Amino acid sequence: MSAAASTPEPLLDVQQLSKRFGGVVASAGVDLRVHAGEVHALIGPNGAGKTTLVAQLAGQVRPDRGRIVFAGHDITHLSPHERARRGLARSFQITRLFRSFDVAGNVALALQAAGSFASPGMTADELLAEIGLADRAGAGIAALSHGEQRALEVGLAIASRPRLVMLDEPMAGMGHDESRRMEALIQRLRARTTVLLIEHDVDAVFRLADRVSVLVSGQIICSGAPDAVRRNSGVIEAYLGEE
Amino acid sequence: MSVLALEQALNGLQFGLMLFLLAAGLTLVFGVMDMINLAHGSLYMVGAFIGAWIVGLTGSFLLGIVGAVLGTAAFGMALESSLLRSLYARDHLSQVLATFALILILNDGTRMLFGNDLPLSAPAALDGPVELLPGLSYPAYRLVIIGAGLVLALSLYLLVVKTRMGALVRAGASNREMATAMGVDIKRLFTVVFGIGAGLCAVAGVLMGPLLAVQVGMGENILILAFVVIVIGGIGSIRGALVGALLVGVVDTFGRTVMQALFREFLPPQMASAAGPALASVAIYGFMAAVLAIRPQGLFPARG
Amino acid sequence: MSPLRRRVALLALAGLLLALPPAMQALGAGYYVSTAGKIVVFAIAATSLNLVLGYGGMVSFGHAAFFGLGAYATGVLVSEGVFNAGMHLLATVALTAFAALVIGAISLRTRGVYFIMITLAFGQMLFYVANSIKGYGGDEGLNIRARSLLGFGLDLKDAPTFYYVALAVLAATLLGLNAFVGSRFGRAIVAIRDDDLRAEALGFATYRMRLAVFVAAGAIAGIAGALSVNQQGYVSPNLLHWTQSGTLMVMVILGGVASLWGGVLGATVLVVLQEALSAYTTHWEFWTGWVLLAVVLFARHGLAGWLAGLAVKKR
Repeated sequence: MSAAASTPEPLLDVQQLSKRFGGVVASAGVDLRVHAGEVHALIGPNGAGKTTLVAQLAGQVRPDRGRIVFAGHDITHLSPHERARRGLARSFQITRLFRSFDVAGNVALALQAAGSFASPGMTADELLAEIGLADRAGAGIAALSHGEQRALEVGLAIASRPRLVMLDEPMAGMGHDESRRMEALIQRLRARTTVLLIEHDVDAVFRLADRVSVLVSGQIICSGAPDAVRRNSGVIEAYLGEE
Repeated sequence: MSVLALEQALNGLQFGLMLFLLAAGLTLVFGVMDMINLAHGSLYMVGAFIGAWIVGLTGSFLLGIVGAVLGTAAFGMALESSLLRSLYARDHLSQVLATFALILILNDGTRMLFGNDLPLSAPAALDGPVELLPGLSYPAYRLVIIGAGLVLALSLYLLVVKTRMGALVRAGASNREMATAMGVDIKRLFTVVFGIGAGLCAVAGVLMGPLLAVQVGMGENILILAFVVIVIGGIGSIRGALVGALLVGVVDTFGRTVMQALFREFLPPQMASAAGPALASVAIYGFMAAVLAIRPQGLFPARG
Repeated sequence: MSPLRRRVALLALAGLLLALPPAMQALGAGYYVSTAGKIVVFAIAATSLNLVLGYGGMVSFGHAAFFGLGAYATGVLVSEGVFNAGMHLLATVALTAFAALVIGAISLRTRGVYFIMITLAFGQMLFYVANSIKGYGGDEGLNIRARSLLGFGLDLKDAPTFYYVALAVLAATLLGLNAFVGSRFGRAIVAIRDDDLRAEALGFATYRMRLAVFVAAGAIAGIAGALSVNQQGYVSPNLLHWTQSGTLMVMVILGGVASLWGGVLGATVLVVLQEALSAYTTHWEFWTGWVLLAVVLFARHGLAGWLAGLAVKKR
């Protein structure tokens, strides 16, 4: 590397991602760079296109144009399970757990899947401890509180020790205490993995994030350190219409 | 050759319009109530039997149709408000089992009341052909069917698009929770929708009776085609049901006749005669598979 | 049920099943042995559907097509003078597995009601094809005079022999299903049934795994079909019709979806019901319909669930 080396290659490099559904433009050329080791937050008002963007990053939706480069490989056309196997994991905005199994069963399944492509993996005990559910291993999913379910949701995503985990509104529908616990969980994730955090709770975002990107009308209008983003006039304007 | 093609096109139109009558009710029930109703074909059979019975008693085809529509609609609404209502909340598998059971009950029940089949012929006044174009004669009865089908299609369109009830149905088809939240009396709406669907089945049953024979089990084969139609057209969409039905009607008719004629040129006779219907079915199902591959929601999806 | 009690119950059941033919013959009711054989054949088919529908969560409405294909594979071979049972097995499995592979590969790209419709469509396509093959009976079906030759002096025309052979196949199927359900693959399939998007996001190759189950189930149904033609001596396109798929589905739902014995229970009850009712009335369909309706409305998890509920209540 030359002495004048600039910022290293981003772990996740999204280039000009575009998607339209009929007459609606959901993504209008999204550029996003997430660097290894950081907690990168993605915020934006309702209707900005966050859901579609996440779906494209996860592989559920094919973009019309653009590229997604992960750890140097073009993953634009890979299926969700292939992305997972390359170390790009995700949690879901609406909790998706395996209801035929208890907590321990869910964890075992995540580890089973991970076992075929990620080693050494976590142990079930490690994972349960990490997400704070060590004493709830035998509980059925229906018996868990909302916060516990969301924690398990995150737990499933990190079971394979992914290089990058996308957390889709992990704090959705949470009260104050539960939110704080989830925040602590995300802070702990720093040591393990890179986090792309999609969240509505702007205060939590500014506490957690190293960098923030703002999505408005299908485009990233601002990306940088939290303070800089907070002061950006375009961002303020976009959010003024919100509350 | 082109006269044959025109004749087949008219046959396809006629069959398609009758299919539409079944598909319209089915797509509404599936779209609005999210229920798989395998017994929908049985309503078609019930309508045909009631109609044939009335015609046998009174000699009047018109009375037969009116009686069949009223009787089947009433029967359908009674069925809906008693039994089917408890299935809305259940999963699709339970609905399949229950409505399959209903087919058994209705088939055998009809057999017990009326026997295995009833005679039904077109009204004598419509027996002869009509000369549409020089060289092209077409049975008057089939023309009446086409006419009736078009009138009903138009009426249904007006009902769904122009009336308040139609708006409610469309809202219900695209978002049931929203419709309930808006205070729509869902229960009564469902019953009426079901009744209309049953009435449409009855019309198709009576009109097709002289052509296809009124017999127990006549509903099963046409039910499958109706499902294919609504999948192609888009579940919950009347417009989709019409387009889908016309497409299926034409493909089916052409498959049976034109393709068979072609095959007769190239294949030994005993293979050709059976190949026609098989090809028609393969064509229809293949068409559905193709639509699903390209546009999985159907041609005119009602749901978002 | 404790493991010991379960083992005792299974042994008792096995004993009863094995003693059935001589017992029936002693009672002068030898006819029922062939009914029992018919039940066993349907039990195998229904169990294979339970694998794909109950555990796999794939509501296949064209499953009877594999049953019918298996019957045709064996039936055609016999009518062409090939009698060796090994050949029949090979041909049956090869044909049905291949058909299931093609149909599954295409259908599993769809979801929900569209999957139901497309499997239905494929089943009907095969039905119409079978209907039009004039050389092998066409819509009238094909009579088969001979049977698969198993060797060891076993004659499948003999009802008790057929019954025992079919029972062995059923036992093997159930053992296989049990092993599968307890295995890692089996757990993954159930997870995929619970939430396939989640499973995929974890890294499971959901499409491939489902396809494997679909093909296995199709092949087992095919074997059931091969047995069926040996029992009935007759194969017809009706075996592939969607109403047959519906009947199999009814057996599974009746017996209990995603339960090991669901297919067996459902097949037994439905066939016994049909046979019993048709002895008294020609309108057995009517009464069968009411029984089924009652089960849907009052026994939500099928008979297996109802029985399990009874067992719990007894404590």
